Amino acid sequence: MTLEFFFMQMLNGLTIGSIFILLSSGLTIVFGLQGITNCAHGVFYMLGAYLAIKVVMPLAGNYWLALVIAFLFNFGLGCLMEYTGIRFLVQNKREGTHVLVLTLGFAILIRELVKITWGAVPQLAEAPAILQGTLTVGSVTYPVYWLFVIAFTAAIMATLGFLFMRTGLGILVQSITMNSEVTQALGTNAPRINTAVFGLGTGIAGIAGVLSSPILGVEPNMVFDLLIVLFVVIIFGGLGSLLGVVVSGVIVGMIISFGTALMTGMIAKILAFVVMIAILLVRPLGLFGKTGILD
Amino acid sequence: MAEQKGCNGISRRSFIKLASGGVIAVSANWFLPKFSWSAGDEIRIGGIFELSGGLSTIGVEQAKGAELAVKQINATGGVVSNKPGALGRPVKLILEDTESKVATGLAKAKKLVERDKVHILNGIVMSSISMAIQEYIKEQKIPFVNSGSGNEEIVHPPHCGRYFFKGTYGNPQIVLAAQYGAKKHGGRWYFIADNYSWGYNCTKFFKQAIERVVKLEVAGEDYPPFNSDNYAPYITKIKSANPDGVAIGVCGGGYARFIKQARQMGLKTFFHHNFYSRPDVKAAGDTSLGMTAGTNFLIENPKIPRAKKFAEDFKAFTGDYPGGTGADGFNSIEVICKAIHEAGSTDPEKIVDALENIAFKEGIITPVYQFRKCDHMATFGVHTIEVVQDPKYQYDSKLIEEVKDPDQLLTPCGKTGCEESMKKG
Amino acid sequence: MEKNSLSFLRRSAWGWIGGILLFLGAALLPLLFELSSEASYLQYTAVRMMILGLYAMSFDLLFGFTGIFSFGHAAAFGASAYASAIFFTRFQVTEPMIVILGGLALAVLVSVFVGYLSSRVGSVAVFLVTFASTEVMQLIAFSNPAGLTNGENGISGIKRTAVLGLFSVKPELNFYYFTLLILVVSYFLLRKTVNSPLGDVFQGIRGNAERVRFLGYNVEQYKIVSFAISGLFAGAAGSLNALHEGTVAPEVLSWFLSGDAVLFTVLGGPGTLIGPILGASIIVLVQEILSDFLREWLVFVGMSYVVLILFLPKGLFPMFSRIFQNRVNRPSNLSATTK
Repeated sequence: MTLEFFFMQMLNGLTIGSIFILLSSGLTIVFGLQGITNCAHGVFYMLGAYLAIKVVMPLAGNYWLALVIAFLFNFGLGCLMEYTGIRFLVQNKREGTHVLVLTLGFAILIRELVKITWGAVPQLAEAPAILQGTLTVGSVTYPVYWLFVIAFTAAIMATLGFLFMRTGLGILVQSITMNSEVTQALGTNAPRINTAVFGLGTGIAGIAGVLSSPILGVEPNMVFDLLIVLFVVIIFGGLGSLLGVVVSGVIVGMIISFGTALMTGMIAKILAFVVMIAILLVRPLGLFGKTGILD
Repeated sequence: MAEQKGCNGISRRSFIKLASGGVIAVSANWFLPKFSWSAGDEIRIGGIFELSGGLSTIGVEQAKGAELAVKQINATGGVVSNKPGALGRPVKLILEDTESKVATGLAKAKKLVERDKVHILNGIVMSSISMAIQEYIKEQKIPFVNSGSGNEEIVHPPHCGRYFFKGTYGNPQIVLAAQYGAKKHGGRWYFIADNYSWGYNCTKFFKQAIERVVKLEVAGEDYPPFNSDNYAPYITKIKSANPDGVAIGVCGGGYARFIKQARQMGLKTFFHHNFYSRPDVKAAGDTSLGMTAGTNFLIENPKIPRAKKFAEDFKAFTGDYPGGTGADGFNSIEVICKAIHEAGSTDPEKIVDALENIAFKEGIITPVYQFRKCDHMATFGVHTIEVVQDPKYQYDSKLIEEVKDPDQLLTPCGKTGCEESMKKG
Repeated sequence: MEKNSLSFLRRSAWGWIGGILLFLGAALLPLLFELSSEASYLQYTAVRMMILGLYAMSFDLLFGFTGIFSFGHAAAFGASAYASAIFFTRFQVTEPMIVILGGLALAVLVSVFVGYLSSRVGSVAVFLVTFASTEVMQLIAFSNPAGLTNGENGISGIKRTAVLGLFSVKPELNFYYFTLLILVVSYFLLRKTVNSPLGDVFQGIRGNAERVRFLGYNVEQYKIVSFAISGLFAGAAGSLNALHEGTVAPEVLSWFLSGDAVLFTVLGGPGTLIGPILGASIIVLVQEILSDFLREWLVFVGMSYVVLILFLPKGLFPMFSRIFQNRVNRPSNLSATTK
């Protein structure tokens, strides 16, 4: 294994890890703090990608616009889903599994609708012109666009981190989870914050869809493809922790990247699952987890 | 405890009444035997394809080819007869989707044979589904012409049989197209193929093919899971290995993804893909230019002027020009209808005899299309093509050379082990 | 659960009558089909409904009665299917009962293992552990260890012979009755289980596991038992499936099959045992009818689950059975209600 090989695999790990991080960030807040098992998280990922490749790019040709629209649309749709279905179930004190079934049904529904509208054939998007091509440093050549994905993810996570840790939003969400009545009594509009936070997560998932569309491609099965890896990431990182998601996303991305290269893709997948089961058994809190949703 | 609330205002009773009425009405239609005006008259072909799921890129095109052939034969008789239809009877193609799943594919095959009473089955790309159906038709004694599976395992024992015909090329034939690249660029090759039997066979036969023309040096081989998202780790390995060429056996969504990701990552090595597929090459776009591949079908084939007309008809029918799979789907229907016409009947035994003896000269794929008697595998020419930018055809397949001895890697007749299963009774 | 004795007797009487009617209907149905020219295909579809119904019913024990949300139920089904296939093709066992027993053995083994892992994590994590375990199993099947599973092509050529050397199940009609028998026997065994003290513990765990623990029960062990029993019957379905289709491919271990167990049960009604069979049958019927018209027929399925879980979370069966009872009871007599 040469140094150049090592660097490139590392960058591969960071690139794929970035997509994991973006998708997991929404999920860890929703699943970890709000206790909602959202199987439909992949829907927003998929819709972001499809909106970009089928609507915004053909009509307007502007990749940056696609990113913005993907965020806004999926933010709105996420809020809608939370406000109608999920809140209904939570307020009626239904079992957690009901949310799971609801979101699963919603995911299947949207996936089939996408197939009906745009067909099931996988597509690959084009990276924006200024980001095409490769960058060579020493003996390492890497696509510019992939480096952009890493940088952009870092920027988004920094913003989210600021939002949650410096503005007190994180504490607010946590306190809503721990004791909604008291928090509301203290003057917070808890339902609205829950909705907004949910929508934030789904909006970011939409951005991830646009970002990954030139790399991983666009197809209806995006809805379920990465879902299980995301759960591995958030459990490893610790539910409810954004820092955990970043660290864990990078590590899992590296494991998959190096694992695939050095062993076979199948063994890497098996390894990921075994690791997750082990974590759940031994240390359900993961690296940085605070809450005990899992026990 | 409170009574369960019914749906939105409709009383539970009326809802049940409505729903049961609906279910009964639909089921009655479903349970009653199918009635159609000319049920005895038409020739029914069961078209079973991967219309959704991992292989839908090729499955959909294959089905369109079949539909076009049926349309033309019904309109004018096509190359089958000088009257509309075959044997003067209309041809009906009943389409079913395997959903790329074995259980669904088998259930649909049963439906076609037992409910729709088709005279012959046609289609399929996934070899696992093909093998399950092959098992089924052995008992039912209904002929099945597979027009899409490249995995030659399906004509090995115990899968081969009297009623089963393999209509398109297999790996031992198509890999020969790689010999051009080996002669031109060198013998040091990296092999990357999907992690299942078709992929392993791609690599195995690629090696055999290349060995016959140059001294082969294996720079590396990998088997990513089928339809992987992310080929970057493998691409990095290929870059480090610095081969003369990369022999690719990746299909489904990964076909375009691998090529695109590789070129994005700056891998400039020469690529050869197992088979040319128009939808996949289009998805990969400019990154597919310069790649060579094998194909059995050429739009502008000096030996087959009719191919070009077919391509134009296909474009009019679907909006785009055909790749190899569309041609295979089309050709297979023509072969079947021609066989039925020559047999003079829809009796399965007569159809099988006619297929065994057919020498189809008017087809769009090859000057003389026939099946080997020993294992019912179709034989025809193999072309090496290069993907080029073309104002008319977009990512077109430009003929580089025709492979001199396309049967060189096939198991000779007499040694296939299938000879016994070809007997009647 | 309130038990007004008169109404309870009435309800259980009607339960018996309803059950007998259902059984008679199921027994006579294939004979009705024989009149049609597509008899074999109709019977084939009905058998598919029963096999999936058995599969879903086994899941009901785990989910509806013990309250364990497993997303990996296909593990027991698939393990049994593969074991049966391997018994037949590798070890040349042709007696269907032994083939089935072989499948059951592996299914229970797998279920105990997964159950052990699941019992040690919290209720929400169970769905992840079970999902991951089944995925690992599917990946193993794909990788064709020791040449046993034949990778993605699966194992084909499983033939149906004569049960106990006496009753040939090769004709579809005969296999139908064989399957019906196994389904009915399984139902009674499961019904007995849930009505027994063991069943009470299961339901207690579903209601409040901590309270059950305080009463002195080893909750983890009981969970494993629940996995084992439900795995046994899921395994029966898997073996039947292998014999019925003649082919076993890695999709018998897929997560959508696991999801099917959940969805059939939710559709039919958790905690009823019969409900999941109804749910499975409806979905197979819907697939048969709709897939001719719309390739994306799953869209209706997705829609139904959303609608059902919001407005009808107890599923369809409780609704149907209440209608059935309402029709013959005067409404004022119904004072007791189910949980």
